[in-house]
Amino acid sequence: MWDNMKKITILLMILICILTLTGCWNLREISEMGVAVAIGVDLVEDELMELTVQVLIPRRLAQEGYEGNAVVTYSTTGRTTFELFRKITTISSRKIYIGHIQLVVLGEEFAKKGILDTIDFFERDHEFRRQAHILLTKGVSAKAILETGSVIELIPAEHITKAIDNAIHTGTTKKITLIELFKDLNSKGNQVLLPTVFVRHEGIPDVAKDLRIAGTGVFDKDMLIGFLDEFETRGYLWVAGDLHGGILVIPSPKDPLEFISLELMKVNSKMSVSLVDNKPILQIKIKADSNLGEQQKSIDLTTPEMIKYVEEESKKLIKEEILKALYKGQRVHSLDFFGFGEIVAKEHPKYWKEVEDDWDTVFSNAEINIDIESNIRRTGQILQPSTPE
Amino acid sequence: MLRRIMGLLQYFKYKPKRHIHSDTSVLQYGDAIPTTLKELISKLKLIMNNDGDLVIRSFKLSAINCSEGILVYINGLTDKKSIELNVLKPLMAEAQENKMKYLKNNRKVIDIIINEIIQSLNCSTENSLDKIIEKLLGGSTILFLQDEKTAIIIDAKKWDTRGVNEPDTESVVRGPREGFNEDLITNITLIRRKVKSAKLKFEETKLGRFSKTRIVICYFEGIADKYIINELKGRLERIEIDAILESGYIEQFIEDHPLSPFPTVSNSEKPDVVVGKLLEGRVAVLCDGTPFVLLVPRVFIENLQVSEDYYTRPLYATILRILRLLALFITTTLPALYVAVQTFHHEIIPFRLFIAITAVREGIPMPTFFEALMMVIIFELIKEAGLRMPKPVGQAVSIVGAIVLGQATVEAGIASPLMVIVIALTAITGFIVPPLDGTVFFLRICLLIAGSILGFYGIIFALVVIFIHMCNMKSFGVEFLSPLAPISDGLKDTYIRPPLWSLLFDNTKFRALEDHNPTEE
Repeated sequence: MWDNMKKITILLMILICILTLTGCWNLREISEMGVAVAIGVDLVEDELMELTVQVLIPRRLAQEGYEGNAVVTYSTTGRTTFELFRKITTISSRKIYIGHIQLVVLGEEFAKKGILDTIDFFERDHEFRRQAHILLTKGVSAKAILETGSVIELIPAEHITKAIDNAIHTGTTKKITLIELFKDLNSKGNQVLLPTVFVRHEGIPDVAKDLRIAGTGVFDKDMLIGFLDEFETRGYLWVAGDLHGGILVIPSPKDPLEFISLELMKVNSKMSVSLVDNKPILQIKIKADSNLGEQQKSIDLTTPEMIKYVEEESKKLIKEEILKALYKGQRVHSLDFFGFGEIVAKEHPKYWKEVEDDWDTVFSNAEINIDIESNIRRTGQILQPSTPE
Repeated sequence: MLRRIMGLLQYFKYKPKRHIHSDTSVLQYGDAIPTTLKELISKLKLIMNNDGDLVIRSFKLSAINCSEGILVYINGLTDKKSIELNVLKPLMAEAQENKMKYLKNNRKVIDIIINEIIQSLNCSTENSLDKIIEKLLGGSTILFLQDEKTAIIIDAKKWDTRGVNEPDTESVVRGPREGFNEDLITNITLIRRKVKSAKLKFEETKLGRFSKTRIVICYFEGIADKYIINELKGRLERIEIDAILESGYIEQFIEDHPLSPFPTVSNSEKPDVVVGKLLEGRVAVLCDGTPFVLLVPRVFIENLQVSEDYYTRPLYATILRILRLLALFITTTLPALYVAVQTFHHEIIPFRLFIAITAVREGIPMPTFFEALMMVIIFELIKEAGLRMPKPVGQAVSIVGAIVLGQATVEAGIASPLMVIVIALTAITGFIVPPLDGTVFFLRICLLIAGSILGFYGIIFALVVIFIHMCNMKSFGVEFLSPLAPISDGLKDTYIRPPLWSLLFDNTKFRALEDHNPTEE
C-alpha cells in the first residue's frame, strides 16, 4: 500500500514538474495569428519611432485568380519596438506573429540615430526570425518601401528579398541576415555594412519594380554615416571575399568605346596585415577566375596575347574598384569597415593593444599592398566571333 | 481520488487464486462400466441426456461366440464407412473354422477382437467410463461387449473441414499460398510436411473444462530453449477456463504484459511462417478449431519482418524493412507532429509551406487538435465498418468514407485539405505494419494528445515513456527489444536482411535470459 502511495506521489510530482517547468510554450492556432512577413522602422517627429508591419491576408492567399497583393500594412508610432508591436495588435484583428519575418527595413533617418534602439528587441525576443534579410533605405522611408506593392509576387516582401538574393550575383550589394548583423555588431572594429534600397525616381514608389537595391550603407558603431555606391560596394566585396559573382566590363583592345564583358566565376581573396617598423601594411591578395562572356568587336580573343590583354585589363579594373572602396574607408569616413582591425587583433595582439583605441586613424594612414591575379578560364561556345565580310 | 486510483491499481495486480482442479470435478459418472449391456445403454442415454446424435448399434458377435455387443458413436463425428467395413463387417461375419480355435486357448475376447478381427488402424482399450465418454465426444467409436469390463475404442474420426486455403491475413506475392485451417490434425500435418525431422516435437494437452480443446505445443528439440518450453507449459497448465474457442483465449492467458498496448505473443496463419519461427527457436501453440497458431516469444523487431523478406532478394527486402520502420514512425507520430507544428512550432515550417498552410487553415472553425482527432477517429470508424460489413456493402462504406468524409469535409470547411493528406498518409502507413494494428491506433491517440498539450516536448516525452515501457517488457524471459536493447548476437538480421548464406542458419537469434541453463545442443 505504502509502496503504491510512493509511486503515485512520484508520478504526480513528475507530472506537475512537466506541466509547469516547460519553459515558454504557447498554444496558438495558425488561423488566429497575423503573420508578419516584413517590418520597417522609421524615425518620425518628436524622436518617436514608427513601426510598419506587413501582414499576410490568408484569405487572399487561398483565393484563386486574385491579382493584388495578399498583404496589409499597419503602422504606429511610439517609443520602443516592443511597445509598438503590442500597439499594432490593437489595430489589427489578430496578434502579430514575428516568427516568419523575411525582411527588416531600417529607415535612413532612423539608422543615422543608431540602430541599436531596435536591434536589442530583435536579439532578445525568442521568436524573432534570425534569417530575416536586412535592408537600409536611402532617401525614402521604410514605411514607403513596405507599402509598395509587387506585380509578380503575391507578397511584396518576398519580391524584395528575392531581389537582394539576385543582387549578390552582380556584386552590387551585400546580402546580410539578422544573425550576421548581430555578429558584425559584436566584432572588433566597425564592419557593419547594410544593403540599401532607393527609389529610381522622385517621390513615392508605385510598385516594387520602381525600387533599386544597390550599394551599401556604412555604419560607425551602430550609426549610419554614409553610403557606398555599387562600384565601391564591389570594391569592398573584393577585399572582404564576399563576392559571389558579377560582370567585369573592360574596353575592347581596338576601340575603347566598345566593350568586353567577363563573367566572374570564382574569387579567392585574402586579407592580412604585416607590421613593418611598428606600422601596419594592409595586404590584399585576390585571385579571380572569369569566363569571357561577350564582346562587341569581332576580334579573335583566343590568342595568348589577347588573353593576356584581357587579364591585365581586368586586373586594372579590380584594382580600381578596390582603391575606390579603400578611398572611402581611409579618406572619406576614416573608418575600417573592411575588418582589418579584427585581423590585427588576431595576428598581432600586442600591437592591437597599443592601437586599439585609435585604430581607425592608424588604418587611414596605413600603407596598402594589393596583389591581383586574374585568369580567363573559358571563352564561351564559340571559337571565332561572327565576322560579316 | 487517491484511494480510487489505488483501488484501480489493486485491480490491475489481481491474480486469480488457483483451484485444485481435475476433470472429474465437472463430469463424474462413476468409473466402472456396467456389466450388462442393458444397464450400460440406459446409463449412456442418461449421461448423454438422450441426445439425438448418440447412435447405439447393437449386433451379435458372430465371428467369435455370438455374444451381444454394441457400437456407440456420435453421429457426424465418425467415419461411418470405415466402421462398417473394418469393424462391423468382420465382427458379424460367419465364424470360420480357424477362428474358433482362439476360444479354446482361453484367451480374452477383447484381445482376439483387436488383434485378429478389427481391421481399423487405431484401436485401444479403456476401463474408465469417464475417459470413454470423453473419447466418445471426441469422435471415437466405442465397442462394448456383454459381460466385459473393458471397452474397445476405435479411432475413426471424420468430419467436414475447410480446405487448405490461402489466408486473408498474410497474403504474399511470393511464397507458399497454403494456410492453416480449423482442423488441428491438418495443421500438424502442414507443419510436418515442411520439415521431415524427428527433432520436431508435438506435445498435446487439453484445455477448457467443457470444451476439452486439444492444444499442441510444437518446438524443435535442441533449438528451442528449454526454459521457454517449460515456462510455456507451466502457463498453459495454469489456465482455468470453460472453453477455448480461439487461440486468442490462450494468448490472453499466457502473455507477459496483458495491459501493455504491445502484444508479446505473435500468431500466424501460414505454415511456412510458423516453421521459419520454429527454426529460429520459437515455440508454437496450435489450438484445435482455429487457423491461428500462436508463437512465443515475440520480440518487437518481428513486427517489421515478414516471411517474404526471406523469399525475395536481400537488397529489396532490406529496403522494405527500413520502409516499414519509417511507416511505423509515420503512422504513430504524423498526426501528433502535424498538430504540434501547427499550434506550437510555427517557426520550423519553411516559409513557403507556412504560407500554404496559413492559406488552407483559414476559415477552419475547429482547433487543429480536434480537427486531427476527429479525422483519426473517422478513419478508424470507416475501417471498422468496412471490416465487419459483407464485401458488397464494404465497398459502399469505402465510397462514403472517401467521397463524403474526405472530400465533403474539406469543401464544407470542416477540415483542411492538408489534414486530409496527413490522415491519409497515416492510414496508409498503418496498413504496412498489420501485426501492430491496434497498438498503433492507441499510440497515435496518446501521442496526438501529448503533442497537442506540450508540442514537440510532449511528443518526445510520450515517446520516451513508450520506449521505457518497451525496454521493461519481456516475452517469456526474452527482452522485448532484443536484439536491439540489450544488444545481442542476433543483431545481424534486424533492420537489414543479410543474404541467406551469410546467416548460415544460426539459431542465436534470441535467447531467454537469466536463471536457467543455456540450451543443450
